[in-house]
Amino acid sequence: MVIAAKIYLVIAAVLLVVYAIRHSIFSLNRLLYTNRHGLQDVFDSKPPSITVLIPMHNEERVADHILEALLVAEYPRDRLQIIAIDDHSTDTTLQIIRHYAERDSRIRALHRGNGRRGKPAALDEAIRMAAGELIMVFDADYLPGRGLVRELAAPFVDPAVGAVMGRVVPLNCGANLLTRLLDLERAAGYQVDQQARHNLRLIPQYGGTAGAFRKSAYHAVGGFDANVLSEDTELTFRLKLAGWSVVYANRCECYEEVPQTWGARIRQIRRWAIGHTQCFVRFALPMLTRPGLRAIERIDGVMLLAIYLIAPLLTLALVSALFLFFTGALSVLNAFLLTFGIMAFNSVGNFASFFQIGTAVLLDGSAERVRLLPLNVLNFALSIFVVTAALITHGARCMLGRRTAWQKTGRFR
Amino acid sequence: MPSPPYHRSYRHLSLGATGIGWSLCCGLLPSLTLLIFAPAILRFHSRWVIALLEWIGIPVSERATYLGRLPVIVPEVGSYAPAHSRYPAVVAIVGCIAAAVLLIPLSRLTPLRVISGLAALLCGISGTFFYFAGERFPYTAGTFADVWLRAEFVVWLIAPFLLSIILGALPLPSGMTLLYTTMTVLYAVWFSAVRLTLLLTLFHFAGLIWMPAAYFFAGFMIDFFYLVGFYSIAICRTTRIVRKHREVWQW
Repeated sequence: MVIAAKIYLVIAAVLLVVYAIRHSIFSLNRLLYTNRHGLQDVFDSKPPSITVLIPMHNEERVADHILEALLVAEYPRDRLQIIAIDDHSTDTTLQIIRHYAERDSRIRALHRGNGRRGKPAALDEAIRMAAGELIMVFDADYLPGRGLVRELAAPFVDPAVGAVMGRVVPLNCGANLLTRLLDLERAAGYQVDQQARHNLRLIPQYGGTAGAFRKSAYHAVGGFDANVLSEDTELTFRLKLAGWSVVYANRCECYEEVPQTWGARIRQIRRWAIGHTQCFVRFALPMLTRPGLRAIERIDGVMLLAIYLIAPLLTLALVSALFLFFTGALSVLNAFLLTFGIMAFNSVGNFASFFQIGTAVLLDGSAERVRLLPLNVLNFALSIFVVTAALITHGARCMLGRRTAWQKTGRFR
Repeated sequence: MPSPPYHRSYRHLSLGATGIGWSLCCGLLPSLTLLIFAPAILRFHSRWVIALLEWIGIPVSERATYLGRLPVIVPEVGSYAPAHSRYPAVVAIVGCIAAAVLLIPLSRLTPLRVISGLAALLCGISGTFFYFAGERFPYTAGTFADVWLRAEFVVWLIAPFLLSIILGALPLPSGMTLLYTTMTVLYAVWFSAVRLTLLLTLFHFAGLIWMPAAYFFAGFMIDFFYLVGFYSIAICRTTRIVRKHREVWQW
């Protein structure tokens, strides 16, 4: 038992160091190299037709904001369709959507009162009605700028591009400590992580909102699976495995509302963790075996899919260390490995970690907000605990044959 | 409708890679100095802990041992755990109840609840262990101080090196990198002595039952916390320096 615990600690430390190396490569790429050029400046004389989808469930507080923002988008009127989806709302969301649909012919209201709830099912139904060649998705709390629709559509000039992801910037970062911490985390995730993956020709992740995908590619890979909680990750890997490329456009900024309460944050990471891990189960093996992918893409793809599994791995490592402590077997070597692993993990490792955050803050040119960086240790402690609990619960539900329900993130506007 | 903040994503800094080599040297220099003067630094650390304990009024003795080939003095204090036989049981029950209140349900969690809940759970486990098998607890305050010194010495060696790697990619002057790595090591040595004194005081007055919580929550966790703190100060400073430079605007 003692030997098993020691071996596990060594394996965990090695895995954490591998992740640490991956993330430090991303940060160094952003600091030391120029970016891979996007196609946002390409002027297309015949812009593609676009359908913007906005899935909404009880979004009366924010629905009019996003619809107003999209109505002033700089894109030819005849090439833009907006489908606002009311997914089983019990508030006035449907009335708001209908009001806008009557006001502007580009907006179409889709009311879903029957059938399966949740974003993947809502999107799937709306895509069947969509007239555009490109599908653009925004969550209801997002505020796209006037030029965003055009800029997100630009990379599709390349026929190999299946999906494009833009950068998400918190709108309410000054609301409280949590939003400030999430602002740092988002900065690292997009400015460093996504952009570096784009630069290194790895797999930037289509994030399900503030992004677009080609409708033909979507149909070719079989659409969304309503059983998966993170339809965005699923689509990313389906497209990649089918030979499409996914690109990231850092310039395409969209503003979002990050959770302002810890409860909302917990629901959000719980959904992400379960959805991402569902995708790991589904796509890890195909990523390793499907021909046509570079070795580095395979490795990075699997590491991306397994990122939430690091939390239970780390929890188990701490339990092992505790066991060794009480049995008197926690030698200096184990302490060293555990320390090194945790330090490497947290300093240059996972969950939009500290090195990436520091790099992102530097690239963004905003000095003051980085002073909160040490407090992110507390935020990560919460994430590790919640992700571990969520994955254990989800595993138990799967064994009992139950389905984990899609949970919406609360709004604070 | 709220107005969006300033546009952030255009900025790209073309930083030179040459600074990394210098920075690594700046990180290795404090580590090398630490290795060369290790006997003196370790002796100073232990003597300081002993002096602080004596100042608090705790009887302390010295034990000579070796860290590899390095001679080390380890402070030894007696543990006067409360004699009442129900003390571990009380700690176990209170710890477990506190952990349950703090950690359940998941929807009410905050970072402080998680940290304090896990600390309470650890105390509960420790109390249970001491209640059923207290005589088999494998450490004394002296062995704790011994393990602490060895582990902290490793942290002192790693910290400047790790910091130099992540500071190396920044356009920070070499002197500044050297300053940050040296400050980190000095703070680590000073803070290690203060924490060890406080923990030995806790063990002396409240018993070894608190050792697991102290080991896991006042040891490496705290080391990591101040390391990130120094890094954030360095990044803040670097960002201000970079603001004065000519910027390269890109995608």
